[in-house]
Amino acid sequence: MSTKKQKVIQKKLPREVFNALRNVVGEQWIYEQRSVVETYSKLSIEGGSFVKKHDKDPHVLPAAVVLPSTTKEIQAIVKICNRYQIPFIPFTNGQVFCNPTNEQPTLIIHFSRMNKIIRIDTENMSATLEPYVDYGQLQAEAMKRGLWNGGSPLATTLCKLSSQFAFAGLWQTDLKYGLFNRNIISVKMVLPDGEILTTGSRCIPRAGDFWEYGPGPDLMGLQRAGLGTNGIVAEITVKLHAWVGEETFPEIPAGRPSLVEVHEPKYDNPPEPLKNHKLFWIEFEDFETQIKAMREIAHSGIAIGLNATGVYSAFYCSQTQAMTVERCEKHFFPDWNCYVILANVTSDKQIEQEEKVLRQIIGEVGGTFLSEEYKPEVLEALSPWNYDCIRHSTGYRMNRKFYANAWLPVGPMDSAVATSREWKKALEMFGECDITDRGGADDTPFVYALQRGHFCLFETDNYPDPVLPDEIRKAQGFGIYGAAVVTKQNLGPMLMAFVNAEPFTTMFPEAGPNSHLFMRKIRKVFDPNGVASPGRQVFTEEEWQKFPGEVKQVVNKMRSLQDLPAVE
Amino acid sequence: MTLATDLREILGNDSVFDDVETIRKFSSDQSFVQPRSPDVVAFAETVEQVQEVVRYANKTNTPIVPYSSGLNFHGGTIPKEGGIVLNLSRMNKILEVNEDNWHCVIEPGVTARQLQEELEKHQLRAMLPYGIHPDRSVLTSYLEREPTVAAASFEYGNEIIMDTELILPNGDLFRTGLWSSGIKPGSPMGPVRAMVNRLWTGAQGTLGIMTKMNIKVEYMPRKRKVFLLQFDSFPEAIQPLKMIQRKEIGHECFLINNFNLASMVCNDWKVPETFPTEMIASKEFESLRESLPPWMLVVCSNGGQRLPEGKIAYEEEAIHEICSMFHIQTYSNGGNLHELFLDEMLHPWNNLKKFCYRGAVHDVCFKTTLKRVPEFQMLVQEIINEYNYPMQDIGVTVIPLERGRAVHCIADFHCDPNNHAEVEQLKNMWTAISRRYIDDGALFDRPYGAWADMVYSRAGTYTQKLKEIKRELDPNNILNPGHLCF
Amino acid sequence: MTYYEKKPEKKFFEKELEDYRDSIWGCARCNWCQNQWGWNIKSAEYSEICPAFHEFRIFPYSGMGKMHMARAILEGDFDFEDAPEMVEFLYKCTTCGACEMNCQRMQDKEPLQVNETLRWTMVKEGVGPMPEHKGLIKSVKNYDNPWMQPRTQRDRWARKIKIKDANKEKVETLFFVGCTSAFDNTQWHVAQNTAKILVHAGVDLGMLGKNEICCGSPVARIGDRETFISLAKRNIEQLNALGVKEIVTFCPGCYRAIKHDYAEIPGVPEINFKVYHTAEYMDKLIQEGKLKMPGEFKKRVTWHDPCHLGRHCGIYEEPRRVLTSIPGVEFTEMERIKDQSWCCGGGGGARTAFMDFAQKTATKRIGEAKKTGAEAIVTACPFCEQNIGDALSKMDDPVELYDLTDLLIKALDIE
Repeated sequence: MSTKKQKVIQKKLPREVFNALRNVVGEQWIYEQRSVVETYSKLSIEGGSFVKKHDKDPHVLPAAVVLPSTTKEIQAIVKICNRYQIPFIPFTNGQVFCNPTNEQPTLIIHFSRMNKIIRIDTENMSATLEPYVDYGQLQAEAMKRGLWNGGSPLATTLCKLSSQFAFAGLWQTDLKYGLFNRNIISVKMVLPDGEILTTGSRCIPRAGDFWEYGPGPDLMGLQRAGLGTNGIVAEITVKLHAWVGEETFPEIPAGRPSLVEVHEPKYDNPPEPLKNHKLFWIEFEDFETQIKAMREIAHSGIAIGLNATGVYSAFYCSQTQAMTVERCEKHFFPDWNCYVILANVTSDKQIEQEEKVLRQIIGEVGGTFLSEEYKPEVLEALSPWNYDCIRHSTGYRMNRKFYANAWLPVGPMDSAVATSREWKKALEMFGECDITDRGGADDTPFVYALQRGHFCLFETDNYPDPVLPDEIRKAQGFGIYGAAVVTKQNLGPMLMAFVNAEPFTTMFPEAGPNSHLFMRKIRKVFDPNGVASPGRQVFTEEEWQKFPGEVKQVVNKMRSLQDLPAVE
Repeated sequence: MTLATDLREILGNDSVFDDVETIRKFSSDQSFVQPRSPDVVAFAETVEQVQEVVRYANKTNTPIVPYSSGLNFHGGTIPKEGGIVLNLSRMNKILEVNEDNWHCVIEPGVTARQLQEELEKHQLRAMLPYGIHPDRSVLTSYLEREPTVAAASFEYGNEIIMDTELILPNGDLFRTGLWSSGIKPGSPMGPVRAMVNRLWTGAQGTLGIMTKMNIKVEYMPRKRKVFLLQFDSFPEAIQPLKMIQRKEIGHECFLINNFNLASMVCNDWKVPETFPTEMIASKEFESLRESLPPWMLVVCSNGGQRLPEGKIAYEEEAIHEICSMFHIQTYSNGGNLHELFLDEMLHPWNNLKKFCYRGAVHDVCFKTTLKRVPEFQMLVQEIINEYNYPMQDIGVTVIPLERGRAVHCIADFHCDPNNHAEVEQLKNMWTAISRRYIDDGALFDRPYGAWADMVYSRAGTYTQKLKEIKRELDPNNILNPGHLCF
Repeated sequence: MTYYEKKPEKKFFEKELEDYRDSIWGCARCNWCQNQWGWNIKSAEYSEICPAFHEFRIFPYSGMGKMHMARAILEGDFDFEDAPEMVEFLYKCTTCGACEMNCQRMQDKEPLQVNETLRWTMVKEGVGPMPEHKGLIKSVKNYDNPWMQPRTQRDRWARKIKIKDANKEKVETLFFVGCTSAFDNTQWHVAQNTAKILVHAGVDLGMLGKNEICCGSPVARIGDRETFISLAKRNIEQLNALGVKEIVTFCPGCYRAIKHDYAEIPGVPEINFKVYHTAEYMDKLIQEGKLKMPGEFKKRVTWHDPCHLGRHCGIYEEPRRVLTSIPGVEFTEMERIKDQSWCCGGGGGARTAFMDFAQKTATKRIGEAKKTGAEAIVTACPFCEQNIGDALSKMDDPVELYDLTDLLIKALDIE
């Protein structure tokens, strides 16, 4: 808790820059007022921004916020930034990776005016979107047309697809539809140098926007997960898939909440999933059995979604934090579990057939279905998932305190056990921030079975108190330590937080190998003037030399805990 | 010191060849690409050897053309500027078959037949590219994004590449995927952008030399069933195909015309070992071409690992509903077509028998959307009329991609490679068709040979950025120079 | 305060920004304060829920923005002098509560309460409210109503209505008319309808007439707590003294203020009567068989949920039951309904200070109604009716606008 009452004053843009930007977007769409920039500075899940607030660090504040409405305006803004060497950061919701990266006055480019679905092509199953379109909007429109985009992230349907391109992209139906990686057809990027790059078939005149590769070496892969360092997504075309459910979500029979009784569970409990879908919950005796069952289910080819929710159900299905904590303490939800989503995509006999397969697997491997006869109260409590499994809305219940740091290694399913063991060790070393950290310690990490069991993703997190900066720092330490762990133990690159972002590529040079050197070259091509979130993705040698010594010390300390040599 | 002697220092005496016979063999393939000779052909057997050769090439500004099996038919390994053909065929180990996580690590010399035989022992299968030669490098084939037999299935036939290991143009080792953060491969997601391996796909070895690839493999189904639906014209097949794909029936699916079907069935012909090949006149082929339906839609239903009959049953019911709706006849005219296709799904090379028709096949392969295919059919008809090429001599295969979002079309044109006038005539026609297709928006996402200029001159900033990346990664321009837009 | 530290029991009207410290530090910027609840979205067009953010597109206008600004003010990162623009951000908000609805559901935090507490802080420090609101406050203080109208005019609407004087005789049910309907003659019909319907149903009804005073809701919403508390105390004393069983009002602002807000004032007596909104009460009368409908109202209509009635107080089904029980009514729903209702734009002082914004918001609601094919919008809130009515009057192809009581009067066939 900060007791300092000193003011925090942002650096402003040079006047000629501000005026040039104003000429592009108009007076109404550029802001540098103190209260405005404040609302673009503390992020969702980035501990660093919270710590900087506690420390009264002015460098967390952008200099100004500009709101373009067209690709042309974005391009003009980027060119101005190049001309005047002003770093810029693309911004949608402000979850993570949107803070200024150095001490120069930085411009936020906010896309809230660009929220149109440009077209939905039902013939070729795709949708072209402006950068501020979110999953919920796309799903609502696609479902009316017998299509959908395969789910929505656990960070909820409010995530914008363009920022998922820039960052993560996971959802409940990864099993069948793969990660967001698999679901992009093209992007139209305004590159940091002001050029416009269109990827996929769209870059060939008259070919149309239907195929994601080429020509020749594919550049979209270099743009993906750039965290705002390789340009701005001005348009994105995503794949759609056949949708067999209702056009809209049926009303929950219990009715709608109001402010006088918003926490009544009944309003969150749809009794069934959508038409042509069925959801099963299965409890296991231990983690190994859970993983074994998940592997068998994934390999069997059934289902559109398969995930183990661990501690996350305690969040998503609880209307208050008190309920969450109580349920964790009592292990109300099964520690080891998974849910399986079946769907009648091909035929109305499909669910019936797949259920037989599922029951056969569980019968062999071991496990108990939650049902009217077995833990009906738990099954009832899990019913938000009936809708969340398609359109995830409750995800941010994880953030009632503060969701900080995440270990999200991606790798073979066997690594889940190793990951959770390492997480337990980390908790013993550093101490937990909250009982809910024990998502991993009780062997209850979130396990997404991806891509038919070829690999999957696990997640464990810390939940520090946002008013206690030392707790947040502790969580940050967990994160860096996690980078050391995954490096040393070959548990897979961490998807979140530190993967694709410094300090990982430079401070863990084992990655790649030579990944930081490779990335420096790529950065030079796309951002020769170093204006797009400079230093977020990879440091140049000069930037690395200027880096604060304390951070290097922390990193080396974490490296040493995993017997990794120090980096210079 | 000559190039050959320098390389013998690195690779050993039995690995470097500069005799006339060997040089000639690596100077051309069956494509229209102008033959050009390398200076030497060198065989590498380890990653370290590859690295050393690449470093040497940088020091001496010597071009390198990576070569695995040379069976890409499109001139990708013809050295445009001489130098070293670096043959990786001796790096032919299957390093790991992971039965738990269904992936397999291969070196560039591993062939399609070798891989599938090995995987079958583990009750697994690779989704091999359609039309791959049994001796072709699987690694290269996937790297060149050749559509698999199951490209129609979003889940099973696409994005096969997981982790990779490669040598960058400066000789540095680089990995992508889980492999890049540790010791073992196991997922395509890596710390260096999530999809960075895509940069080396479709690259024809111009941006790096891939030395290992971890690929997804799938289970070997215990029960499968092939459905054959016949059509008199392509447009008739569009709606049924769309519906089959929307309902996600089956994994493998393609539409082939009577020419290609007849060549697959024809017992007079075998899959050639070298290309171009010997022309074999066949009455059987002529008769089959006449009697087989003009178009056949092939759909393969794969039963799950467990209770496979149930899945096949409901998929079969779904297909029959569609057939009834559109009054489609299924093929049941005897013969062993169903068994042939069941085999083709696992060993997809029988269609290469088509080479026996005239000895050489020059295809125009491109991607487009399903409803535009008739448009391109009409275009080709216009052009072949100008060149007096018979319509019935065009082999066509259309592979739906990702549940019909797009299609991959292959139009085969045949000629006698020993008849220079015929070859020239065909080359002109092929060029005219290619140019016209590209003008009208056909997507040549792998721009081999003459297509490269046609495509890259239209791709604007994409081309420019590719060149800039090439300059950064390969400042001495030693890797396969002259290919693509480099 | 840390997250799990026990918070002192405090009522809303005694809370300061400090009391929301861990909440405003913890705002997760999930953005649910700007968007309709995911399970309820039916189209991209109607997926947003915050009128101010929808219009102005920057975060200070959203609930999340208020939380972030509040944190900075609390910690002294800047003060009101450094950010004179803040006043407009705070008051260009209709206090519809959509942000708090979704935030409570998700995060269990209070962006609307923080907004109103920030407003209180601004009023305390002389920075707020907007200049246009000062007249409103002065009116309330001087005339016991926000309309600058003399007290003697308060019961003009009732001149031809037979209704008991609760000042003089004991009644079971008090009709609390509210200021807007009493002083705005375009709204008189609602007050008249209500009185007629209740009397027709045999309710022992009375009203305070000129002695009624403002419930205090307008001044509470714009942050003048002191004036609000003073009005609340007077109301509680006056109303408790009447000995009525129940109060019926058709103004959701009054409804919420008396039923819920008064209980949030420290050190005041509890009210000793039940509080009903007319929609609730009419529904009750219909269920009890006391309102038979020989007539009909033949139109395709849609219901606009007033924010203070629906989202704040949970009255969703009652007006719908009333509507669907009226012969001839063909009922159709808009996309954003009930807890996810789109505000008309008329509340929170926004209409007084920012008429343009209020009207744009109403226009959007009208567009949403038109999409259902409805011929008419029906609602039960004088502010909604004023604001939507004004917007309709500027349109070339308006739909009709009715109060719920207009339909009932016709269906009951009462003169």
